[in-house]
Amino acid sequence: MLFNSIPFLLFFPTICGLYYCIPADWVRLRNIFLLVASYYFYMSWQPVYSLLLLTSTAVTYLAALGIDYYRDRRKQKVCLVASLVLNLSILFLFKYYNFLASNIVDALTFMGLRLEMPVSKLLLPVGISFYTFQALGYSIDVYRGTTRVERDFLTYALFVSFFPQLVAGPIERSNNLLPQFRGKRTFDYESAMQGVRMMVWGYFLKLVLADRCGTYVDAVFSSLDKHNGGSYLIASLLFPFQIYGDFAGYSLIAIGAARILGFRLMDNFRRPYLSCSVGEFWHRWHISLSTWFKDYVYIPLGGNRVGRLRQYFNLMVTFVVSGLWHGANWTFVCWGALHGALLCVEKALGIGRREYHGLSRFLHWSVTFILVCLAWIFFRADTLSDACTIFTGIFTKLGVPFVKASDFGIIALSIGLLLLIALRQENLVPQKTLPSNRLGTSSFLSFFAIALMIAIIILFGVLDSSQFIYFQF
Amino acid sequence: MKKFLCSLFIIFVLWFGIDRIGGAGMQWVVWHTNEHFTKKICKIVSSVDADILLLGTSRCENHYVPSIIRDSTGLSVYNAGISCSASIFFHYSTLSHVLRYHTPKVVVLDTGESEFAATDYNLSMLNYYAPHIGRCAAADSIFQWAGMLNRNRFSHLYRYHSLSNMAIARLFMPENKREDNGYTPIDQPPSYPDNHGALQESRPRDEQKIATFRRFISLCRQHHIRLVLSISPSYYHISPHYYDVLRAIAEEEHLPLFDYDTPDLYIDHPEYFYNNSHLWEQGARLFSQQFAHDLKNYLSH
Repeated sequence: MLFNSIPFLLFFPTICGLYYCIPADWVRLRNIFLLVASYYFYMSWQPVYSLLLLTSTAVTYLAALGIDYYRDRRKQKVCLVASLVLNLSILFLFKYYNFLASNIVDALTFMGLRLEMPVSKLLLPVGISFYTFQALGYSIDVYRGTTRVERDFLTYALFVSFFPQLVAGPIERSNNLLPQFRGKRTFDYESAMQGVRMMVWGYFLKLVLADRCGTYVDAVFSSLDKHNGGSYLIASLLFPFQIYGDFAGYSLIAIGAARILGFRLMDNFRRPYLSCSVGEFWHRWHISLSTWFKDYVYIPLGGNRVGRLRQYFNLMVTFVVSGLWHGANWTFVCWGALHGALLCVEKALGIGRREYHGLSRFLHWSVTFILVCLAWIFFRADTLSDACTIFTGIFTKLGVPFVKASDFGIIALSIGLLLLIALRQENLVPQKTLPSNRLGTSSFLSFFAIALMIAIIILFGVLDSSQFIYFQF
Repeated sequence: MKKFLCSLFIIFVLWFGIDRIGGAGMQWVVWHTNEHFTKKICKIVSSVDADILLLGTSRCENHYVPSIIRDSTGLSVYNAGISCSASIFFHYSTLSHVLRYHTPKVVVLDTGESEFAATDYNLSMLNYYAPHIGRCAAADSIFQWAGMLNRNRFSHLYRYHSLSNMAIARLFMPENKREDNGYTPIDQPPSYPDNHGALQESRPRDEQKIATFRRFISLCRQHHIRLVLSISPSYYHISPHYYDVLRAIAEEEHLPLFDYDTPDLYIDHPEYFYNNSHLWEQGARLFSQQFAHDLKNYLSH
């Protein structure tokens, strides 16, 4: 069930209505209801894959109980390692096995050896990387003693499967979300209206900005031989907005939906394309994943508390793994490695350690934006060879690009609106330029803005229930 | 909670107002834009007055030159072919809209497999008729069947969502002056198609399409229109049984079927083709002369 589909637009209000019919004091009943709704939501794709979700939930739940039960640190470690191995094995089997097998076969063929390995025909379960990481984060937190063990299986199962953020995040932390499931939730008008606004803005980003950019980007990237460097360049400049609109849009819909139900999920994006360094970009892009990798990979490797060379090594490992998390393809590995390398360079040169103003800010922003856009080419290309074709095409075959004037108008207006709002939120434009700063959640102007945005989405959105890019991860 | 529900209701009322005002604005855009298909469909739903109405896809739009057919038959001609409209559902809507205000003497349906075979393009281009929902009950019945009628009735802006960007963008651009009563010529290609492609085999039957095709035929009968089926040339080798279903229906319904494709009349002439399915202007003019001659003969009997 996609957020941008009619079934979800019927499912969500129904769930909200029924949820709030249950008295606020009946916390457990509300949780059971949300759990059933979440599994129904997940099972609308492939019902059988809910067993994987349940397995991951059960394994991490039992591991956490074991960690809590034993006082011996070694036994606790055994419980944690068992949880990590089981969960990562499932992830490996469904997501990385074919990649590894094909690379082994290729490597052996290169060395003149012949080996046949069976190919897995299993479909990649939707959201497996997200809920696996969320559940593993909980196991590690319990092991570290930074979160309280959850003894109620239903509450914990809801934490892993909560439908707004189940399939594409934000990857929640146990000490943020679990306490919210334990406590009483009363309806809050301001919060619910904020949720509505976030959902509408999220739909705008997905349906108008991302999917309009997608029509051009997909046309170019899917038939590179029919396009020239000019088209590659435009597609490479539009893809960053497509992926931002797609993923930030999804996150906003998720956060907004959760807020209407009375929950606060963590922010996932903070105007990443206004960053003045790649390091800053990673503090603003997919925050829930980047902080996950920081807390559970980078810091355990030694983080910044080690020598300079080891810090670079840690950064590279973290970003290569982060790239691999996005998909079993060398393009993602290269994308991650490129970001890791850029961060190492920034660290070596001391870039991003202070705030920039005026021309210096503009220059840093420009360079960062260009570097991030170039790195996205690896992310979007189907193969490394395609990525190379695009790079060489941009620099050697720059011709008259393929233009879709009708879509470009809408894309330009959407990016303009996005930029205006982002600049205001960053306090980079005078506050008077936009009135929305002073819009309350219940003012007429606020209602009108929401209604107008819905009308714009209906008129200019791509309403064909296209898939969210991050669902494949 | 009560306040929240009231707020949602106010938002809904405001949206409804914007939707209706915006819908009226978009209606104006649709009737004034120079976007090719939108403009052509406005003509189809309001002011076609030709004796011969040509229906079909881009193969109709780019192959039949009305002035040549008019000069030969002495009857006025309008080419209502629309690119990508590859299904009988669309042609049924087109004919229904025209019959609301005008009855042509002859309807030529440039047909292919889209009238009887299961393809991926059943509802392709049908959205272009969405702005005209409410004008013609028979055409609306196609939307109803496709499950698209209620959402188009509920939101007036939704009717324009698939064409809004193009219609607005083309509002300020000049119209296509080369159009001849609905016919749009294709320029000479830089190179002609160099092979016929693989042998084209028939796809499975689509009973819903065949039923609509029969409705289309009976609609012509009800209005005493002479229906002619025609298959224009392509640069493919096709299986001898490719059009068996179409031939059977034509025979059963006693309809003339002008087949310019199966006998491979043009297969040795890549110089007439823009690509495997489309004739460029020179090929279209040559084909139109042949078609006009055959049509004149048929009509004179």
